[in-house]
Amino acid sequence: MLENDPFGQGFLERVAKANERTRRSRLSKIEEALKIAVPQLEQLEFTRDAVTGRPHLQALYSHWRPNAGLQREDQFSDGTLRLLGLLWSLLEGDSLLLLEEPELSLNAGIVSQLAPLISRMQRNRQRQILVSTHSDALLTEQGIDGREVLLLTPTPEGTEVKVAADIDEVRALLEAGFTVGEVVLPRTKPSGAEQLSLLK
Amino acid sequence: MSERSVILAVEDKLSEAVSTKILEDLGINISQRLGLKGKGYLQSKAPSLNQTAKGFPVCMLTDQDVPSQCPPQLVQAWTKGERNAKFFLRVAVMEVESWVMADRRGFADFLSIPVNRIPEDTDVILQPKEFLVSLARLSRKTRLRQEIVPLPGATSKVGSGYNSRLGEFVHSRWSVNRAASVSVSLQRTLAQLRDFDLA
Repeated sequence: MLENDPFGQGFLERVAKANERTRRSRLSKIEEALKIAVPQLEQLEFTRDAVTGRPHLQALYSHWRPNAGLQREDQFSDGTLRLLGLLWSLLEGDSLLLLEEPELSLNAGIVSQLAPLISRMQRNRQRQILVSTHSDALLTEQGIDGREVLLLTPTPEGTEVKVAADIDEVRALLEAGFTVGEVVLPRTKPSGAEQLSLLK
Repeated sequence: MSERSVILAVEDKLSEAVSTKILEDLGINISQRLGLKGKGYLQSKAPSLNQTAKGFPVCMLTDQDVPSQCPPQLVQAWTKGERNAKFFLRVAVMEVESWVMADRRGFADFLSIPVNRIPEDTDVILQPKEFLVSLARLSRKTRLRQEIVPLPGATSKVGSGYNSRLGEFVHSRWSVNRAASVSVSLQRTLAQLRDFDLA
């Protein structure tokens, strides 16, 4: 989730460093979100290992076997971990935030809620958030403004960047009610993509 | 001279391959692609694309599917009002697969089957997709056959390589002119596209 932190220990340290009140408040919001997004997840809490003192997150999952449902972060699914990290990042700080493909490992139904969720969470903080994506589900949201979407096209001279709404056809179609996913994503498809399925 | 270009809206990958080939042959550039989400989606977007066509020519291709709905009726029902002169909505009789098979020599070569297996008028085939798959079953090319024909009991009507293999055929071997000499539906489409006001 975080740069140079492939195994998430750095993330746990960050959660540990937050003062207790802030941490509780953030984790309770995250728990609320995870209860919606993750089947059977009922409770999320911060703990420290009794022996090593290392910070951990643990969640209680409802389960037909008694006492079987307590899991630590290393047992969480990829999607749960990513959503947890994403929500923490949105709640933490007010400086520029870069989110690279936040759709990864998440169900499309959840992904389709990310744009309004991110927009809502940054409104009070007035922070700038840049999101990169290949996801149709993320871009199905009707409320995404074509003036906020940058289309990146790799060319031999480097990457060309265009504001989506500055492309005449794109603007006309967005104004006609098409979503950014419907109009802009087809423009990002590599021209020879069909060749891939013919690979011998 | 301004570049001739259109917004292309299609229901599936094979329609996209066929439309791309036809437009390329006519020297028409595709400035934007839409669709690939089925026929219902195209129908739902037809009225707004009819409006968009005031500023940018739109080319939409869909399948007739059933003999009872004649193409002019479909066009009227879809546009919900007067069709804009720059909204080019064409209906393939019965499906775009009919146009693909209409290049009888090219398609017979591709499958390695006798050319007389393909009817002399492909527009009258009632279920072109199923018919195309039945032709592929006769193919002597094992791998091609396996990729186009679905496995016994499969829920899909076509094999896993259906779109990619047929797309490749259309792109590299399908002759629009040969096909138009067989399919009246395609012939009319070409004639109207040549006269289509793209300015």
